[in-house]
Amino acid sequence: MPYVCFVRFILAFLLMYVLIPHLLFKRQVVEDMLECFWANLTRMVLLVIITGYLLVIIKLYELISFVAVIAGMLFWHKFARLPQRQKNDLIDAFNSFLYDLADGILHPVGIMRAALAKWRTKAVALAGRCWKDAGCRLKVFSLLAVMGASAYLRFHDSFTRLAPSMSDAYVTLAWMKYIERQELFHDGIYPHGFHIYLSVLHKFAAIDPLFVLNFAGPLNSLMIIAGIYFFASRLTGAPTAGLMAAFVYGLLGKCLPNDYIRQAATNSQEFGMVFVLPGIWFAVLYIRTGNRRHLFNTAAALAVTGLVHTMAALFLAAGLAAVIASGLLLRNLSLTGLTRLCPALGAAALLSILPALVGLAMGKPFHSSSTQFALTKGAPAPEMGLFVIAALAGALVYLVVVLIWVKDKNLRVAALSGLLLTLCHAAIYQAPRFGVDNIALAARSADFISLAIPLGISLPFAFLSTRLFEKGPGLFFAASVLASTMIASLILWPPVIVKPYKMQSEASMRQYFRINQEYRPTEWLIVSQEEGYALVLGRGWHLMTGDFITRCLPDKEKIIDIGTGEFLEHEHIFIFHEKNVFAPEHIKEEILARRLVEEKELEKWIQTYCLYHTDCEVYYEDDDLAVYVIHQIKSNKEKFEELWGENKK
Amino acid sequence: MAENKVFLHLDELTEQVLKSSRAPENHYEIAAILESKGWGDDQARESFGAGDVFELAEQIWRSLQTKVITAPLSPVERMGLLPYIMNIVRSFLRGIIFAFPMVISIFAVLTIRYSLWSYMYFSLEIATSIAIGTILSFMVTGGFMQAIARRGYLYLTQNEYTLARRMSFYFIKLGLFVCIIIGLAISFFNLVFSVFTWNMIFICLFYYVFLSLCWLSVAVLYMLRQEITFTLLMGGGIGLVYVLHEWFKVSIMPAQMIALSIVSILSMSLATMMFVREERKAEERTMPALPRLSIVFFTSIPYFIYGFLYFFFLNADRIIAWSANSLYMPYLIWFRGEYELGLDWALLTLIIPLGLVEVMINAFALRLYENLMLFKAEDIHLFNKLYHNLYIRYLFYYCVFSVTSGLLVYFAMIKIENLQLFELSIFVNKTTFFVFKWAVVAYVITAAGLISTLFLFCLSHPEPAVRGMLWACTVNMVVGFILSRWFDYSLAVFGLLAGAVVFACYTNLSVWRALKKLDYLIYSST
Repeated sequence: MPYVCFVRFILAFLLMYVLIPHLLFKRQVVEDMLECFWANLTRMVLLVIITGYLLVIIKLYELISFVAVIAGMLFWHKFARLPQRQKNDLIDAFNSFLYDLADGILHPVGIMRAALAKWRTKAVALAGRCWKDAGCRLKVFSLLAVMGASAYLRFHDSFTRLAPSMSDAYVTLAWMKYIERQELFHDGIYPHGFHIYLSVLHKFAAIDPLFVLNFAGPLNSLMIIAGIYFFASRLTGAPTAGLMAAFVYGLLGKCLPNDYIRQAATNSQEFGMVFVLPGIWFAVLYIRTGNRRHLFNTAAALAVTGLVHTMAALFLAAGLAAVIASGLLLRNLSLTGLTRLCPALGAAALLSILPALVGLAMGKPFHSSSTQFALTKGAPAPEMGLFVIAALAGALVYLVVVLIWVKDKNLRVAALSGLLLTLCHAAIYQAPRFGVDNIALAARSADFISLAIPLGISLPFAFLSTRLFEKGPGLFFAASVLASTMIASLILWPPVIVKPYKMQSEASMRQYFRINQEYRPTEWLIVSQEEGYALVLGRGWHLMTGDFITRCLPDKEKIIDIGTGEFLEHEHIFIFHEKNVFAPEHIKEEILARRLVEEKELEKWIQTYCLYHTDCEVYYEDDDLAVYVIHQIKSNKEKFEELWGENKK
Repeated sequence: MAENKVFLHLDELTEQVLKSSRAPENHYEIAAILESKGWGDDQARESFGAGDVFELAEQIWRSLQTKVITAPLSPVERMGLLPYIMNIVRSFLRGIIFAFPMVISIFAVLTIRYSLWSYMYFSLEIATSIAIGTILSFMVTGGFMQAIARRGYLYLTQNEYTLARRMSFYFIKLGLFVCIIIGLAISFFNLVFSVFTWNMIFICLFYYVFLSLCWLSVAVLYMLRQEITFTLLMGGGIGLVYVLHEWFKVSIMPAQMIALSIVSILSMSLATMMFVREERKAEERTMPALPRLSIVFFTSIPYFIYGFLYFFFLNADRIIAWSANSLYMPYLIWFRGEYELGLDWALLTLIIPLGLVEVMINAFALRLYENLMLFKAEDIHLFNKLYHNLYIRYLFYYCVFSVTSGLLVYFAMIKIENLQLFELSIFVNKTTFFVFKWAVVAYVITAAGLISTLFLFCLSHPEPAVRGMLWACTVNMVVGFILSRWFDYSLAVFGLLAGAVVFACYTNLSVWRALKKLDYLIYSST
């Protein structure tokens, strides 16, 4: 099942973030494919988040309205905004096509064949161009190998285990579902950009939200690697640097200062990180060309990060500051350019905080845990570490060499940007040493310095892409250096499959999916520990084990909630009893103790219920878990009323 | 002498052309007239040795240039009072009979608890599947039904039964092809997006395909003025469900599936038989070729679009209401019986207005062309004014009758409710009653739009009707969507109401404008 869901998930992603932006946004002739992808992704994510927020605020967020908005935009872009003459031409062309089809002048099969042949010719030409060049062949295969291996390390967990990764996943899952229920800031003000992005993916993939959650994390991580490759290769104009940078983050991720398990978990911060380096690259492009399109992309990236995760926006802003400083220092950024850049970034920042203002206007408080985390002090001074030093050294070496030998002003700005960016991120990472005592900053900056490290390390490898190493022995030498560096690194620091900790047992997850498949949504209720709530939300009903044993009496004719006085009218009630309580890695002692007591009580409850009733069956049982089911079959009258409402006399 | 098979002389064909247009403007107009009479390139070649229809038209045009065209106006006979009343009654009944299958179906559900495609005790999943299948069948075949009615009827009025049959069956084949393609597309969509369970999709597709077949054959039977035959078929189908379910103890759904298959196949066979019978009755002559399909498409597309939009309009509020999220939605669309029941009851209100619409259209079309010829060119504004006043009078009659009909149905319902004849009641359930109330108003207003639409169709001026329906659908969806999401799903009925108002206003305004240049529209429509 995960494979089918994965295909759907990827199809939904391609539809929403590749195909639709391709149709919706203009492409510049000078843009390469990767640049176009990043520009489109950034704009589309921004559009999705803004649309999502607006629709949720006006309580109209659902698949139909979302599709209507996108369809409306496509209609406007492709037809409505055109001059009347062009519109008439389009209508005429469509009519002619239809009439030719009717008269048999055109044939659908022929049309499809011609389209296929055109596409094939293009693909063959593209592949042929690359295949002829040994250097290109090598780069493509190396990149595919690095990306493939990185994907394997990150997606492995999603395909082998069903339970969501880390405790944060349950919050993300619940918030994504609250967005679908048009509830904004349910647990307090927090940027919901990522949850809107997930929810849209869920709507189009039409799979269990849990799979969206499980796949989105590794995909984010893979996109970060793609972003690192994109940034390093474009900044230096050398694919070797990009390849090395992707290698360091993709395969040596365990050695970086970041919390490695987060690379397979689904969190807003990692999604925000996706846009940090591409956003900085668009700023570099703007400084180089003065093209407003790049300015818009930079601002869009800043807005996206701001709407997704504040820390990501902070680090993107730091990166932008580094790039602007480089531009000013080397006089590549004019005053006009700066006067355009600042308001654009200011507008993006303002857009980022708008949802929070809306939340305040709605009378919502800030999310308490996040606020508390953001204000906690007592951050330890982090170690500099080998990789941080290597990154700083790499960036410095690259800058010195470029300043001495290269006359190209753009490359000089790039080299200085590379160093300042690495320095800037390293400085934030080392902030506690400078008296900035903040746990959140200290913890999160470790993740962000991990973006700069691959960049710094990879910069000197850009020299392997110079003309000297393009063909023949030079190419062989460059390939040997790259390969030996990679192999040696892999021997020294073997790659590790990312395995985040889980809050639930696999057996309980499998039973949740079984129930989901066998029974109609909304007809069932699950009694389980807290984690079950986020899973069940939006599909069925959930009752905490503690509440169930205290509020429902087992010896009555029907299961009545003594708190409300109403009986549980769900057709199928599933009771998850953890015979051996599952103890997650990071659970608090008092919670575990409570669960132990509750599960014992639950066992007694079931025994008592079985004494008085005959409708309780064992749905699943192993050494650690038992799932009991109580079927409350509806009468004909109830079924009739369900269908036609209460109108029977 | 193969070319003399049909017409002994070109003059005869010229006479035929002159009957349609006394003074053609140029040879293009003649070509258009020839094509409208079923002349194609092949026949022009075979009969007159012309390269194509245009060359034949040029031949006729040249022959006309050498003649002085004079044709006396045939005196218009006034219809006697009794034939006039009979004509009205016949039209009214024809309009009413159109609603009979629907009435029988509702009556069957109320008395024996099931009809050909519904059952009171279906589970929500099955009810949802069947409802979606039914709505889809209407929307997919709606355009084809209109095209069949328009194009087939055109040939029938020219006594071209063979052409009418071939054209109708061409559209039926095309309709079924599209129906299957859409069915496959839905299956593929479900494969990708898992909107419903496969069991639900299978049920939905089964009802969708067979109901589509039914509606397409209904269009043919209606065109052949065989409404009673279809009503009987429908009744027979329900009877068959009864026999299978009550006597042979077949479960309700298989029984319906069997009956539905039989009814749809039987109605299609009957349509074929009736055509064959009519063709035999018609005079023996060579079969003209079908016009080029691009021309058929060109002339039918506005009607096709209208047909699709019409059924979309009638069902859009249902889709919106059924897809409105309450706290939890098991699937994207979820059948809501309370809403459906309100709409079903309200449909009864339409019976009398529909009969009235038929009467008005017949009265309007009756002697329209002959009356035009009675007026001199300088007095043409009097002719336009005459019909302008007539139209206003009709609208007034309509308002009076439809309000009466609405009140009649409303009080009849109260009476039936008091008699406690049926298991279901609309006044007990607040949602059903609310939807019923407003749907009655919406349907009555929709029928007011239908009058003007038929006027426009009568003048071969369908574009305003299509535009009106497009706006109506948009308003219906937007208003219904917003209200159903902000307040309660049952408020989707206001979308229907708002759409109906837009439709009625737009089309009536269009007729208002059209009547100012009625003479021109009559000329262009011929």
